[in-house]
Amino acid sequence: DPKMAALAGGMAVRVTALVAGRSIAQKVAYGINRTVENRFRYFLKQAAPTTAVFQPALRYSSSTSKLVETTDEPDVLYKKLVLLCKGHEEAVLDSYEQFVTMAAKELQLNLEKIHRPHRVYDRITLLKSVHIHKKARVQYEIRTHFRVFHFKHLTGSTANVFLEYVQRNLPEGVAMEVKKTAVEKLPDELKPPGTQSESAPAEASQ
Amino acid sequence: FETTQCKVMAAVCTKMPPWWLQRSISLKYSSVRLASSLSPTSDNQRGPFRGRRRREDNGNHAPSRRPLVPRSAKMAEDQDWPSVWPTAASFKPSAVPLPLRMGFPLNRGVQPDKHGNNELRKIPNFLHLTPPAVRRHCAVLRQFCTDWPVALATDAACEAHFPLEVVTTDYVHSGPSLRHPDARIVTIKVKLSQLELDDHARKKLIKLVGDRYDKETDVLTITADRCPHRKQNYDYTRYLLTVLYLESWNTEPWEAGITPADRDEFLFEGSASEQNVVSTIKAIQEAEKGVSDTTQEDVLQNANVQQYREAVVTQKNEGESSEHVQGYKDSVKRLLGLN
Repeated sequence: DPKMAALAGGMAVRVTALVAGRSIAQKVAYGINRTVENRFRYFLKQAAPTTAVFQPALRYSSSTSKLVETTDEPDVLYKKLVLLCKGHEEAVLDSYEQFVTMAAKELQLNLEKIHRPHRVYDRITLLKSVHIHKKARVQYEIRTHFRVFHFKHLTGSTANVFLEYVQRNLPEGVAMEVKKTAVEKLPDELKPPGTQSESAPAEASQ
Repeated sequence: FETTQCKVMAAVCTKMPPWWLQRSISLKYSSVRLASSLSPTSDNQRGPFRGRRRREDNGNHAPSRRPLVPRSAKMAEDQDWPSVWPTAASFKPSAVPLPLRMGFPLNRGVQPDKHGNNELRKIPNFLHLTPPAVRRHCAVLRQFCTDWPVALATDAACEAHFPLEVVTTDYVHSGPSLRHPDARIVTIKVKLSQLELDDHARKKLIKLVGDRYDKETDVLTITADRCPHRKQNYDYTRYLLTVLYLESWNTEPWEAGITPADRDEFLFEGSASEQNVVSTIKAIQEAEKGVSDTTQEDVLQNANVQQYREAVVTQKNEGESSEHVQGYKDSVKRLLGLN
């Protein structure tokens, strides 16, 4: 029947239009034949409209924020911050190095140098058997790879924020040592005894 | 292998293979098919059932489960990846839309794919720290950061305003305890040129600290690790610095009894050399005039004697070299009037 065929054809066209924006899996479910260009696609070109974009839950304005607390206490000043990362896998350390570099660039920190000391393979040879059989041994090794990040001129607040971020995202099997060099003023007592009237007799009497 | 191949070909051509070949042909055929397949589903090269026949080979039964569509098939290219992988998580092959392979290719095959791959699950992944994710994190973290003071841009400015350096170490490690025993160690560094010290105080301080003073860099380093807590060690280093400084300004009564052997530098005044010079000049005068009426001070004020004094002091303090010995020789000749 040509009318029925036309109707069926029309319906098929409308159904195809309905599933036009759907994914491959949904098209399969609807039983629509995949077109040649979609057949070999690993995933679709455009995002489905229902995908939600992740946004951080906090909304803030740059000048005033309820999260930021300012105090009158003077900030610690770190002339140098050295991060030594030790790990068993070099690939993991490489990725971590990329992450730390990215984070430092985003937070505008002065990353002076990244230096990669030579790896250390700690080997031990043990007897395989509990008793005698001296010629039968087994060997183990512990592999340690290193990465050292040298930062310069960080304030205490910045250092705390950066270190917490970077340490929370430290991967499994990696350890870190942070060497901080803070700069401070000399103690007030460090003046020649002649200039200090009240402390001089106390010290001289000793 | 070639003979069996021929036999297989022969069997295919003729109607029925002999009974002793039938089973071996079927097994060989299935193993060949498995080795060359590049299907996305896991091959049977690894695991406790490796090499065994798969359930789907039995075409009479329907598969026990409908094949699930992986999440990666529904993902779009421009999706928001940080929404898919917001935190650190172990690798999920169905949720990662990448054709990853990891492992050693056994039996001249290919690297195992991502499905059921233990190596991909064991290794830490950084899928939660892609550049867009890091950018978002840092955008929020920036509000908590403060700027470095512009006035302290150079090391010299840092030293001038903040001469004291305090070095501490923090450790992030896994172990039975959160605390690291070396985290309590505090080191203090200061340049002696930043402290107000006179000659005696400087020498006394250097004598008191010993090895902790570095002559080349003029840095005094004090390390404290005797207390269990970092703050205690820090307070102790500051106390040590203060005590050393004040004690170096103090002059004890027994310091006057210092012998020439203990001195750092040779001191002409009161030395045997001085006495020798004076007695020699007086002896010369006695020999010439008969009576020496010049006082010791006048003898020492003499220009030749001053030159001799300079020569002796440089030779004793700076060591013997050809110039110093020559200078000493010239001064002695001038003193005795032999030139």
